[in-house]
Amino acid sequence: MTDVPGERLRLVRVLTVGFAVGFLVVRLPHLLNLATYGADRFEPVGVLAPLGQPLDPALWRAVVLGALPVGVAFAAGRATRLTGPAFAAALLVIATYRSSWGHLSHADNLFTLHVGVLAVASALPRRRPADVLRLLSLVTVTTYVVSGIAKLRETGIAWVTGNVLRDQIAYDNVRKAVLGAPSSPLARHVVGHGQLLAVAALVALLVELGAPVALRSARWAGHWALAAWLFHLGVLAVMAITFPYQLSGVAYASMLPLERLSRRAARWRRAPRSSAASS
Amino acid sequence: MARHLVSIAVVGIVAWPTLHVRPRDDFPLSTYPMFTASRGRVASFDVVVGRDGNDRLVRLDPRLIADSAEVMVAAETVTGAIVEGRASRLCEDVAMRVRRPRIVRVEVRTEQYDTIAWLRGHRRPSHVRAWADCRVPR
Repeated sequence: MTDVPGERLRLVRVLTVGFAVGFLVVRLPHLLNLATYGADRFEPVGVLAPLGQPLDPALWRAVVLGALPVGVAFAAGRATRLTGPAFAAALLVIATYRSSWGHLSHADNLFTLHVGVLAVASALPRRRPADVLRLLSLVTVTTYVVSGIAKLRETGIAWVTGNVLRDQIAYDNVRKAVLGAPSSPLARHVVGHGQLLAVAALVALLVELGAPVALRSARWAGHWALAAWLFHLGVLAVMAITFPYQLSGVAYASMLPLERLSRRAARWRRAPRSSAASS
Repeated sequence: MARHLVSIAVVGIVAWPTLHVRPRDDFPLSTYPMFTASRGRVASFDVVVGRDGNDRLVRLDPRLIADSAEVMVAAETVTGAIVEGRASRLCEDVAMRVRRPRIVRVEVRTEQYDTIAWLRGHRRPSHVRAWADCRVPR
């Protein structure tokens, strides 16, 4: 990645920060509603762990609403030394507060960390785009390896028999159904196929523990990113669990040659005008 | 050299929670314990349900149960209320949110199922424990 152009880093910043802003917009009603939750449900985590009680509702709403224009400015590349750290700090507080009500939202970790890396990089006077992109990819890869280690630590080699995965799929879908939420229509078909589940469990483990191969070359990165994306698609299909950042593909943007797509799109946009001019 | 040190530091920070002897999940640094627990086929679920005028069971959604769109928040809310002895209060809170005329009562309860059998259509719980029961105010 030594000759990666700054163009890719710019595109990654637009996509990653844009995703985070989109997350805030889509989740805005839910986020603002947290101000009405009772203190008896408050279980602060992470940087908010020292809090003894929920944030003042007015302060909470100000943080959420204030983060939006700052995030848009950061994504657009405006005053990034200020807007980058400010947005990353606000996003960290918002995502942490969202996870401080008894349930840690694991879908929010990676983009919160990625925005943090981009913010620190934007605040530095000198930085090499290739180094920043590599750090983003390292964060991505490490989260997958940690997930794989968690599976082996909790269940040992039993994970690859597929039984743990089968019971997880069944448990998760029944929990959704009895709590009145949509569950996967595929689950009841999948749980009867032990061999398929054993293969799926092994593939999931390989994708997670094998994530470091993405750091070898652009080609390996592309193959691994596709495998990881398919893994999340499978989770969505059989468990109705969405990891929007991963499924959007933005989580893997730092590994992919986005600048080629950008240049191709620019050529495609110019082509009709040049042919019109020559006629 | 500095680049390598920064890379090692970043990997160390992200992997930090899992390096502990007793790993503890947190945010945004996580052990990513999703899907890792060995659940077994028989499992218990803490739920809040409604009852219509004919005593038929009506499933309530996370918005009614926990004022949230998140199913996990609803699950944690019900379990937390049961564990901390607040099931009656949760029951009354949910009853206040239920605005459907056909639901006349709300129950907080734990239902036990063989989850594989449930997916195959055997929906009757093998065990039910009621924690609270309250009327929907009119």
